[in-house]
Amino acid sequence: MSLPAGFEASTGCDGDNSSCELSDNLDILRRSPVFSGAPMEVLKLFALFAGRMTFGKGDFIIRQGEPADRAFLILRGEVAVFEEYKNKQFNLQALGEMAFFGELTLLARFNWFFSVQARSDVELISLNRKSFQKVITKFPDHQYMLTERIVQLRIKRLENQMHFLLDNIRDDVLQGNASTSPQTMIA
Amino acid sequence: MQITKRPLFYWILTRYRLLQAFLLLVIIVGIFFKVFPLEMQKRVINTAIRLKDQEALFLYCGLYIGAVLIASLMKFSINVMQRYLGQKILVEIRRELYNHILQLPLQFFRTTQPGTVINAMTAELNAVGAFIGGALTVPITSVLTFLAFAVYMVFLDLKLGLISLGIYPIEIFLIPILQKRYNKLNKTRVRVLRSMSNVVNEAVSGIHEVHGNASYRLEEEKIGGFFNRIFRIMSKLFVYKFGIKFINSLVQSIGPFILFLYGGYLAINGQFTLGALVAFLSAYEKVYDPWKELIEYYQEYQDAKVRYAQVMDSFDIKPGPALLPEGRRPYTFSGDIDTQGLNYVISGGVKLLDNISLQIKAHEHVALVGFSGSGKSTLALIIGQIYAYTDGHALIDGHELKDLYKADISGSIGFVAQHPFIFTGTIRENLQYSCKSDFLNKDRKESMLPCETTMLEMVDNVGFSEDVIRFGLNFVIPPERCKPLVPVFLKMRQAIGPEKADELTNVIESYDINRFLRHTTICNNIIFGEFNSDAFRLQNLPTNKIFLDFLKSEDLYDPMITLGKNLTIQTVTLLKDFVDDPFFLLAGPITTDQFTVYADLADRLKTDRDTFDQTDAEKLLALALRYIPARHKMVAIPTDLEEKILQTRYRFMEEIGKVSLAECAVTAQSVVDGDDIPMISSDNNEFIPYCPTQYRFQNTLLDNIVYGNIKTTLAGDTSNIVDIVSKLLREENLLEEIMEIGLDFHVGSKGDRLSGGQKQKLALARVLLKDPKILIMDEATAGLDNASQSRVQEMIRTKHRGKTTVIAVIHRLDIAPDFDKIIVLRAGRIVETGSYPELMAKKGVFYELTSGI
Repeated sequence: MSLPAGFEASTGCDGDNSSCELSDNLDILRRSPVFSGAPMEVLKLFALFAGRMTFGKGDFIIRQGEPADRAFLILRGEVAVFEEYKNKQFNLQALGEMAFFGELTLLARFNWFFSVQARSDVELISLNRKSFQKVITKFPDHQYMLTERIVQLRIKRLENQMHFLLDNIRDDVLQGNASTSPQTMIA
Repeated sequence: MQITKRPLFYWILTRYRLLQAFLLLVIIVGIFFKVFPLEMQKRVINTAIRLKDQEALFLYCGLYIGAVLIASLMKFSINVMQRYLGQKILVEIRRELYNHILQLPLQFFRTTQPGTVINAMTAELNAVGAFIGGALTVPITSVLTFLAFAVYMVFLDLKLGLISLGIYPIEIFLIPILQKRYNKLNKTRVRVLRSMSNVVNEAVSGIHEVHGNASYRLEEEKIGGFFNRIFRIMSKLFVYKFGIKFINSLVQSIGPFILFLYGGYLAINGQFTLGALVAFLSAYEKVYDPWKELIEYYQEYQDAKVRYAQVMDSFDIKPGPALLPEGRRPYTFSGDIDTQGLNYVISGGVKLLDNISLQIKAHEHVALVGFSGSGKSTLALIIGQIYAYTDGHALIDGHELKDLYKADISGSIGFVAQHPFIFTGTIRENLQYSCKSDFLNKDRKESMLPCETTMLEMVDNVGFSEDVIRFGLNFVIPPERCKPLVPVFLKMRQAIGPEKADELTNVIESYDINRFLRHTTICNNIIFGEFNSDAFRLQNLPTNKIFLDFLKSEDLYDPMITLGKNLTIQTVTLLKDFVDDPFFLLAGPITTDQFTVYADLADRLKTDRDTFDQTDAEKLLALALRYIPARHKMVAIPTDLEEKILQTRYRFMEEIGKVSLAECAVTAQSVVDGDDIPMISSDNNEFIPYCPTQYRFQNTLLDNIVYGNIKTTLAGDTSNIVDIVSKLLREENLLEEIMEIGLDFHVGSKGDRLSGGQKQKLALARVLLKDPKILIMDEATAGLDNASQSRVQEMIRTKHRGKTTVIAVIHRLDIAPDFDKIIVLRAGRIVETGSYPELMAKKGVFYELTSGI
């Protein structure tokens, strides 16, 4: 279990065949579109602070209305994303491996506006806002880049959701009645 | 007569008269035994020595010593009795004064600082107590003693006696002049001390401002001025005090001078016997004592008089309503409140309330609203009889509020302040405060407080249960309290046993002796228990010979050193740029203060991994022992090492811990099976293994129930666990026990361990526990979060509808619809009254208020 002198595994573990959680997390983060462009030193720290979580089928990972404090990356399994509005449940999306959700918590404080439930046994990596902010303040040069990536991801997903909803909306609502004032539409 | 109007001598003349009379008797008898030796002295010289009568010598000497002894004994008992008497009377003064102070109106406490009151009650009255004991007896006896000796002296020789005594009138003239100056200074001294007390009190009360502004120099300046003034005053006081004593002793010395001169002259001329001269001298000296005592008495009397007067003057205000009415029992009300033309005017002619007339029927729920400064809080305080209205009428059930006594009010009216005061003590003590006071006021005879049984229910009603459960679970219960409850707790541990464990596996890793634990240190994995002695604390293990030998014999030493090396190198490489932020270091096993040492070690290891000395080896071992696999992600522990450690654990427990593994396994199984858990015995009393029968007294209740490690992520919290455990305990009906324990949580000085919301819930529960007929709330839910506030509102709306009159000063108008009637105040006047729909339709002041927010 000893390394040759001067050798330092690039992932930061001892050189034995077993990898450590740090290196595993690092690999996963590198493959994620949000983090892939970040330099190694930043990713290593994210990997250090990221935690693993497991949920059984049917467990709630996120509940609408509760304070949001961490983002999630799915390692294996499937989840369903839905929103409760006026006592009705609206299924918004299904997410699978390598999907990244809750990304906005890394940037701002808010309460979850949707719920996420496990559709199968699920394993996730989570990174909370505090850790993210602490690391990113040490690397101000990369702060903008990461923020941009996160916003882009959000917009892409928002687009997908909007398209899904618009596909299913009744035409008359979509065209808008002449008598309906703009205010009630946007609310 | 009000206590503050009583003169000092009132106490002396009316208390413990029998004891004082007895004391006087003893003193008078003692006087005889003081004069007697003088006569014996004379006879020894004149009769025994002159006549060379040895028997007479022995007789007179014997009588002399006997009398002296008795006199001393009597003096001793007199002193003790005097002090005893003084203290007894002091207790009464203090008790009545405190009672008086507590009943003084609120305005007094606005203008008087706590330091003054504290000083008055404690230090200033001490001098009075010392004086009182001898206040009557000392002057009487001193005068009598003085007279006795004086008469004796005159009896011996008229001329000589008169001359000797003639000196004293000089002092009677001189001394009071000095004393007057002393008195004046003394008064000033008291004032300065009080001010100084206040400064100290303020600095301590506002200590967060002091720390925040680092205003230590400023505060030193503030108090420095006082120190100097006290110093100067005391210096002057001493000069006067000892000046008086000096004059006294100076005048005294003149006496013997005259005596020797004139008496000696007479003796030379044979007109005076030697014995008589000696006796005269003795008498002269003896006369000095009572005179000195009289002077001292005079000084002490002046001192005590001044202090007493200052204390009493400070509190010479008419108190508020007394506690118990005379000639009738306290009223109980149904809750009708009526005001007619109520005015409240403060100094300067400012009308805080102007012509308030309202009617509230019993059981109505009324909201008082208005802009800030409208007087709504003042009105609430007046109805609660905390302020007194200036004129107009306020009637409760037809009785004028001004004429009601405190006992009438306390039982029927409950007041919840906006910033409630929480006393230092436990939650239970605070909860019982109102109910217990009412109980004591009504002189009830039952052994248990009526609110004992309803306490937990009330805690639940105000939404305080979760907090109390949390306190209970986070309590480290002292062993005496705990031992009888251990079986219950172990049962709880079983309650969250195997079936429930699934819910918890996400958050807890239990102490399973047959598994390698990833959420605790390697040290715990090997030792799997706790030692009482320091030798086996983690930081001491690298130097513990027993442990080291054990590791080596298990072939574990080298792998641990290697693990330590990897940890050192990887952690230092990863975190060396972030040492200044402790947050980052949490992800690794190295602490902030050790980092430079390990960084240095890492550098050396990078060049040559195999060169390190003994101290280095200790450090590497320490790091390996601190390693927590699930948290310290920068290094992985190989599976075969995990296995090895597990095997080592078994051997450690048997060889060093001296615990039978079979027993431990059995108990683990019985937890799983839900059977009765047998107790484990360890031959080594120092070692407590992590076997399920053991209750670990140094850990919190939660730790003991859960019996495992919490899988926190680095910035995680444990509230999730508490929720899960509470749910499980509720299913097992064990929550009440936990809540009872939680009630014994100590809230800290003035409740500073509670959040603002928790204090409000506590205050609300406190008042509701005495079941008042009229509930007055002054923005009592302002500090609560939305959910709690709704809950409390709901509770009041449902449980107290048709039962209690509620007057609530509210700031948030969204709860206004819940009330029967809304009264709107502006600038001290009522501008609108009506129900919510009525006032909204009116589109008047209230409507404006709602839309403004």
